[in-house]
Amino acid sequence: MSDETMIALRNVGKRFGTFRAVHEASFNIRRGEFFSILGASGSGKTTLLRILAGFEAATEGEVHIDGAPMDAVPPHMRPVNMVFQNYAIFPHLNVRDNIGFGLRKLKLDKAERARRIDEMLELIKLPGFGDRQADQLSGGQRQRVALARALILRPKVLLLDEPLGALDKQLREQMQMELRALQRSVGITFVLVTHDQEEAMALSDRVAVMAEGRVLQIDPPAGLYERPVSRRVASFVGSMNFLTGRVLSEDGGISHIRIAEMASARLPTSQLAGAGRTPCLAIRPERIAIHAKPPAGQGLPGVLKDRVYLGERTQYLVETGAVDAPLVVSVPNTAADAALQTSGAQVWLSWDDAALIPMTEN
Amino acid sequence: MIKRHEFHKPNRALQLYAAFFMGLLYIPILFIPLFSFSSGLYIRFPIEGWTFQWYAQLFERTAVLRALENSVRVAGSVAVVSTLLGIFAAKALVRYRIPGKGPILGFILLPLVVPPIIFGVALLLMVSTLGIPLSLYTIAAGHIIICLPFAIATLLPRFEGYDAAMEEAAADLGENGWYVFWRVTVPIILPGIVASLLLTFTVSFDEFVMAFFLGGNDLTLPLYVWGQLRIPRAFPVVLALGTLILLFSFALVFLGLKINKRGSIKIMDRE
Repeated sequence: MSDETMIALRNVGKRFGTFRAVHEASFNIRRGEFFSILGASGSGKTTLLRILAGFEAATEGEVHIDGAPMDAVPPHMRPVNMVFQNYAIFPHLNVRDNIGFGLRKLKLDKAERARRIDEMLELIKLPGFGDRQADQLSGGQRQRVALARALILRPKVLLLDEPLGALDKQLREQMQMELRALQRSVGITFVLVTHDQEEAMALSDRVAVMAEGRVLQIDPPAGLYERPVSRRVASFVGSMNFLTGRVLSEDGGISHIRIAEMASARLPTSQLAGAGRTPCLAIRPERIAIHAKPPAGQGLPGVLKDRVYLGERTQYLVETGAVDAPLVVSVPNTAADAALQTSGAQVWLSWDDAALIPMTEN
Repeated sequence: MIKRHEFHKPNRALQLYAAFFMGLLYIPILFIPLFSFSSGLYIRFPIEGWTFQWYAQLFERTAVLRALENSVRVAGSVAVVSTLLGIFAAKALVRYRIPGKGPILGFILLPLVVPPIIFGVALLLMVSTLGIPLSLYTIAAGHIIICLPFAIATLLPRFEGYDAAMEEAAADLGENGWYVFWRVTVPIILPGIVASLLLTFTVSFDEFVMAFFLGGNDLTLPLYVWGQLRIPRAFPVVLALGTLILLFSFALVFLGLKINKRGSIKIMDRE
């Protein structure tokens, strides 16, 4: 992957009246990157995508695509193409004419036009479907036609608005793999908008998490999962427990933190920059160990409230005095402990201090 | 046995009521075709004999043919103009964020409920104040006002029936506004356009009051019929003409409704 920038956003904002849909978005998307914007509905992610497509004008800031400013460029002149949420397949045209729709301006001769359409039908694995009408296609096929229709113009950037949202779960997983493979083979920069964190994680080189019009964090999937910077990001990506700590002392770059008077932890002070004197510490359910007997070393005592069997793992809810909400602990089922089957039982929780993630931003 | 479909069981009394209602609506109208084939000069039972002579006479009268030609010309241009205006208005109302959308729609649909005689008098006043001579053109102007609500009411559901993303997709694929309109909007709303053309043509073709106020020396068919009513001997010929107009109007409206309905079903299937 080249580090060269394909899309640059500088302080991009969008107001609808007094409502700020997008707030000071500034980031770069690299050439050839699979970039996702992840957020709940109303987070501004679709507005941001529509600003890139040119359907909405940014009220503040600048957008550059491949070095060129886009402010005055209308949608039909932009070097981007889009796959719409419901695919927007033209109902009056068959598959061939849908895919070839954008070729009119290229003034190709008939043979070249047919060749390019055949090439796309091949790419989306629908050869022989060219004469089908739009209403004779399944959801997955419509999605592929929408992809082909956008890719045939060889755009610099392909924008995808919740492209898998309308598909059922099985098909969605299959299409995720195909989409990823397709992006690698065509080498075009993909910008995908989704509310589905698994989808964003599975597909992307990098993910931007958005909430309330702001970009909260941009990182590769692993970084987002392992090192979320704020509670909002942490709770959006996977499930997360939050503990409140109090910094007792600092010594040689290591901070000693007390957690709810019952446990303590040692973390590098450098990681706590911005977290304050009472840092919020996040920990993933699978990074907590649960014991029926007091473990060697320190263990946070608690009471088992509930136990949910989830197939490959079991999830325990443990009431501790440390936080208001019960802690979620996830254990792979190869290690299921028979003693932990009764609720109301006394249990102990332990973790590796390195699993604690200080929340450095709000 | 459990009785199924209790809720949808036909109700004999309501069926009778419906039949009675339809009879009351249409039986009086059926007297027109019935007596147009009667050989007698007067409307009375028993019918003396059957004949096609009134229809034959109809086509010998050049005045009828001229009125027919006038009517077709007025109705044709009214249909085209009001459907075009209707397309633009419906698109604007459905697609754009317009302040005061509700009141605007209300004003556009107002001619449906304002008596044509009011509009007729008002337009006549305006036209004569401006010194514009009464002609087929002034009739057409009046008819456009009456027909516009029909065009918009037919086209609005068309625009509401498909995703605005279709037009965005076309723009995204490189087409400017006009090409988006021609290549995507028009084909998708085509059944509505045809239905609107047929409906507005019929409304204008049959309209009397506006034509009466705004017409000059050139007569439209309804005006011609009105003129002939004063001549008792001409009455059977008027009946024959009325029968033809009736048939023609029915056919156009049915055709329009059918095209529009089939288009809606097709669009629904595709979603």
